[in-house]
Parts: sequence; structure tokens; C-alpha cells
Amino acid sequence: MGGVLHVQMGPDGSGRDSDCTLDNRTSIIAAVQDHDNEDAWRRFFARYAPMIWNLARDMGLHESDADSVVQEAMIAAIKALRADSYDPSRGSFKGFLRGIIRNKVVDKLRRRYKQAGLGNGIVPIEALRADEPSLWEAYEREWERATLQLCLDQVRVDVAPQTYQAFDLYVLKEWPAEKVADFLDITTNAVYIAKSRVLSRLRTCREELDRWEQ
Amino acid sequence: MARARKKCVTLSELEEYASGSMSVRRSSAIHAHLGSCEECAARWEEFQANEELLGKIRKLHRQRARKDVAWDRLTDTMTRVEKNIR
Repeated sequence: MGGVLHVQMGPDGSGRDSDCTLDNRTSIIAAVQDHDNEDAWRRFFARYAPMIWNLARDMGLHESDADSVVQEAMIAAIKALRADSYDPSRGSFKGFLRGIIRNKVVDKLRRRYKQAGLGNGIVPIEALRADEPSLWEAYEREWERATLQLCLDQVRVDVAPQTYQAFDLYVLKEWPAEKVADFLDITTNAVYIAKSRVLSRLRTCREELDRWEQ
Repeated sequence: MARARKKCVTLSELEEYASGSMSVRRSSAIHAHLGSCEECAARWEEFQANEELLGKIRKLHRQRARKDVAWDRLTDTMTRVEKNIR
């Protein structure tokens, strides 16, 4: 995925090692409500658009329909946030966005039915019921993937390069710890420490994101 | 029951303990130590939470091979969104 997000650093901007640098006081969601914040909606788009596109494709929509779903869902979400139509006390942002995506996917299905000359574009309730569980399941999967990816991108810039390299080789590329240690000229224990440090930070980042969005 | 050892467990030992590659004797000693040392028990708990996340990350990484949206494709959509929200 090309959309690497540079999420806000901590208050001191240090990217220090002890805690997550995602700052919930300046979350993407809050920032996008500010009309004057030029960068905010782009970060918002980079955070959610790839997930929506992959989800739309998973639901069987063509690529051009997936493009439309992304465009329409993003416009609807940004406008709703700016108009204060989203009330966190009435539900999570995750659920709010899911509702928007659901409506856009159903619109596309309706158009597909209409183009195929079926039921004047009215999607049978049976078809919707059959689609909904798989939509929600795919949504959860894509949400998880997007969240973990965002945290990985963030932690990569926060930790020392060698720490991330050891993590990358050992965890992501699945090299044996001894081989990683030889390659980086460090001890096997240092490989385990790098793994532990990065994973702990990833868990913290994930918890921060969950606090904003759940 | 194995006698709990006094020395705290290192990260390398936790890795070995979790992988199941340790001898029964050493594994039992570590098990007993984890039951009697709060600090190591907390470290073990964190280790397990990290392992759970590690499983998800490896799965995510393997799935990256699938065809995700190319960012170039979304830049056109982003431009259209920009026009609509201004």
C-alpha cells in the first residue's frame, strides 16, 4: 500500500521509546472537522480509502464501482464529520463509517440489478441479508489489516533503524533468530529484545487507535 | 513438582519456553518460577500478548501478496473527493 501515514507525533515530537506517539488529542477524525486543516482530510483519505476499496472489491464490485464507492463514502463521511452529524456518544466511528459504506455498496448493487433488468433496481431483501454478514466480516478483516498496517508504518519511524530491521527479518521475513543475529552482528537476545520492543509499541498504538475509533 | 528457581527468566528463555523446545526439567523450573515471581509473571503475560499480535501481523504480511489497491489508482479518486468537499 503506498499511502503511508505520518500520524501526529507525541506532544514533544520526540518519538521516544517509552510510549506510542499517536496522539489522540489530534486524531485524524477530530482534525478533519476543521475546514482550515488542509492536510487532515488527506490523512483521513489515506487511512480509510484503501480499506474501503479492498472491501468493495471483496464484495464483488468491479474496480470502477470500487472507485465510486471510495469517492462517495469519503465525501459522505467528511461532509458528515464537518456538519457535526457524527455524534460519538451514539456510537463508534467504526460503526458510523460502516453504515456509510454499507449504503454505498447497496447503491451499487441496486444499479447492478437495474442494469441487469432485474426488479427495477430493487435489491431483493434476501440478497441483502445474504450479503450483510459477509460485508461485516470483510469489514472487520479490512479494518484490522488497515489498523495494523498504520501501526507498523508508525512504529517503523519511531524506533531505531536496527531495531526495526531485526524485527522485520525475524518477524516479517521469518528468518531464524540466529541468522538475524549473524546478519546484523548482534546477539540473539538483542533480536528477541527488538521483537519484544516493536510488538509492545504496536500493541500500544493499536490500543490508541481503538480508543478513537471503536 | 519442580523447585522454583530463584533467578529471573530472560527473554531468550521465554522464547525457548514458549516454543516448546526446552527440556522438561528446565521448562518445569521456569513454570514454577513464573508461578512465584510477580515480575516474571507480568513479563510472561506481556510476552503472550505480543505473541498473539505477532500471529496477526504475520498473517497480514502474508496477505500482502494479494492484490491490494494501488495507491496511484486512488490519487484520481482523491482529487475528485477534494473538489467535492471544498
